[in-house]
Amino acid sequence: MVYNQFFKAALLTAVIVFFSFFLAYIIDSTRTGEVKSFVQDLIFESESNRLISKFYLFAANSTKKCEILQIPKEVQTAKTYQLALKFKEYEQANLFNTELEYLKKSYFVNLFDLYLLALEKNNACPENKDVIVVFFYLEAACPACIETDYIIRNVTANCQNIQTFAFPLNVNYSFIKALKNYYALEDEPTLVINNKKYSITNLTEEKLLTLLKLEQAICK
Amino acid sequence: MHYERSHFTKEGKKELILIGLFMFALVVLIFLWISYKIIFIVNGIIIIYIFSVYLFLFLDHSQKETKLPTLKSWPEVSIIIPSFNSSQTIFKCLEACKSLNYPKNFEIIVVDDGSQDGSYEKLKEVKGIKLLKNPRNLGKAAALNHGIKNAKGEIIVCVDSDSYPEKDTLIKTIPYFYCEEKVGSVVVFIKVAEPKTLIQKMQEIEYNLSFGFFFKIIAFIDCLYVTPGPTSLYHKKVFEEIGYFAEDNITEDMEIALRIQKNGWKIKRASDAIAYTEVPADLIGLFKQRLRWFRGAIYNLLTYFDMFFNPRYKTLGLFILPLVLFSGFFTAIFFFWAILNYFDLFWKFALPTFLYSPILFFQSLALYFLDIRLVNSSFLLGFFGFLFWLFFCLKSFELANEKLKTYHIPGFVLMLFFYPVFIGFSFFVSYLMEFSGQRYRW
Repeated sequence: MVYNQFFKAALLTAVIVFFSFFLAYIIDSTRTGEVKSFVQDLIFESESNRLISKFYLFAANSTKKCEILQIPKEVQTAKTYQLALKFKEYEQANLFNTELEYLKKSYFVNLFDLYLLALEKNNACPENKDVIVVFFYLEAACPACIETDYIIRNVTANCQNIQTFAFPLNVNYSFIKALKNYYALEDEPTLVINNKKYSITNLTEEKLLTLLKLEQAICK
Repeated sequence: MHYERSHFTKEGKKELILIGLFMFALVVLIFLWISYKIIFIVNGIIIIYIFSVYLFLFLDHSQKETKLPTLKSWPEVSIIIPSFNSSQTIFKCLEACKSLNYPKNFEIIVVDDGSQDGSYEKLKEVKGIKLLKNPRNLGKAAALNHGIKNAKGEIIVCVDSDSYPEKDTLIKTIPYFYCEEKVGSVVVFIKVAEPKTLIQKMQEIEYNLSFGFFFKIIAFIDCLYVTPGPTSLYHKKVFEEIGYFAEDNITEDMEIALRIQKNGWKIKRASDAIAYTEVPADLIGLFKQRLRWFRGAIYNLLTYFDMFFNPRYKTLGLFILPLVLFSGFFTAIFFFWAILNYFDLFWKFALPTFLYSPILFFQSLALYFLDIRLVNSSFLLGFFGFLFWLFFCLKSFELANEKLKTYHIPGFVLMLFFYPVFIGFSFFVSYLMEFSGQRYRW
């Protein structure tokens, strides 16, 4: 009977749907796994820095206190716009996003933690100050953000005492909102170098290098 | 020739304009509201289910053939050819019709529908045909009716003036009228005549797929809902009982098929009988043809909406007719939604990036289109749907007794990738025109 074929088709559809979801799950897990290792490194670095910071409090009277705070920048690349972009792209491409959502939150919390530790270190040891570059970008496709990130990466690769961070502006995280309020940021890509705001309009590698050098960055 | 087109311009049915527009707006809103991933998944599941049904119908019936009776006496046959400005093709069509094998003599009636290209004058000189003339251009259905009313035959063969039935078409089809009771019409396998352009090559594959593969499947379950205009055969009793072709209809071949089914007559398909037809050579011609087909289909399906979900019409009413109407509707909506999304992508990303830096634009383009890692997982169901589509396209070649050759490849690629988008666009425009009640101009 004809209805038999309709039933068989329903079964085949169920099998294909199940198989497709299984494949999607594997693909999505692979993508999530790719960013997971970066996030784990970042979490480790953040926790390790926190411990160093505690140790600094213990050794505050030592003459070597600032040497303690010479924190190695292990996962510098993870702090940039590139990984944030990857989050966004995988978020769009994945069907199963629960873990990615969690990783994303965890990533930004720990990145913010690292940023605070960098500020703390600069306050504690002004003689060994790092230049802190924070790039506030828009999460949605933003040509100027892609271009600015490219410039920041090119320039900072040749500098020694620079720490770069990148935070999205248009996300609903309370600490990002706090940052936005603190720097009085609007929803447009902005560069903050040692607490000074700069517009990214017409930013070139030469301009950025000049700005960094003015802030005592040691660049080639 | 003007037609008072659109179902909605009919008296008493104008309120359907509002309902149609409301439904259209509602579905668009739902599409915009829910995540595109959900849309792809739901769309993918529906497509896979429909294709699976076709697959099982094909696998379960492909070996079954209708048992045909041996006819002791063959019926009288009349071939009707409506002609309107068809001087380019009508003589080749007549040649094909005259050389048809049949144990008896048969009449050929050409009905000129107010041609202005001199074909009527030339046809007067052709021997062995009965030439009739409409006082003015009344349309194909009127020309067919004029011919049928003057035909002597028990079996009426309607042939388009740009179609060429193969020699054995009559002896391969006519026995089907006597294999069961109440067979009202027999359809044949329509193929593209000498495809030259890329668009014609695409249609060659499309015709193999539609009239070869899908028609074979729906004929198994007595669900043929169109008797193709290029060549179809009818029992004269059908016209006497249910009336002639609807003269205000732009797809009279679909309307008569639905009327035949509705009145309890059957439509059979002679799988090995072939007729060739000319098809549009360029995209604009094809688009105009599809607008006519789809607008006609929407109009006819809405006219026969009482057959929908009606158990009396079995699989035709419960599955095939709703599938034809709603798949067209959702294809149109899906196309509209895709346009909006691409417009959004263009407006928010592509254009600003290009204005910001053309180099960056092309880099991003390469990144998004070449980076396989960014392929959306919800497209996976679509991929399986595509595999079905590929299988059906390849199978249709087998059914057409053809082998896929190198020259088929460009048409095949167009059929796989361009055709679905083109059909979506054509459905979208057709629905808009029908909903807005625009008149059809032939």
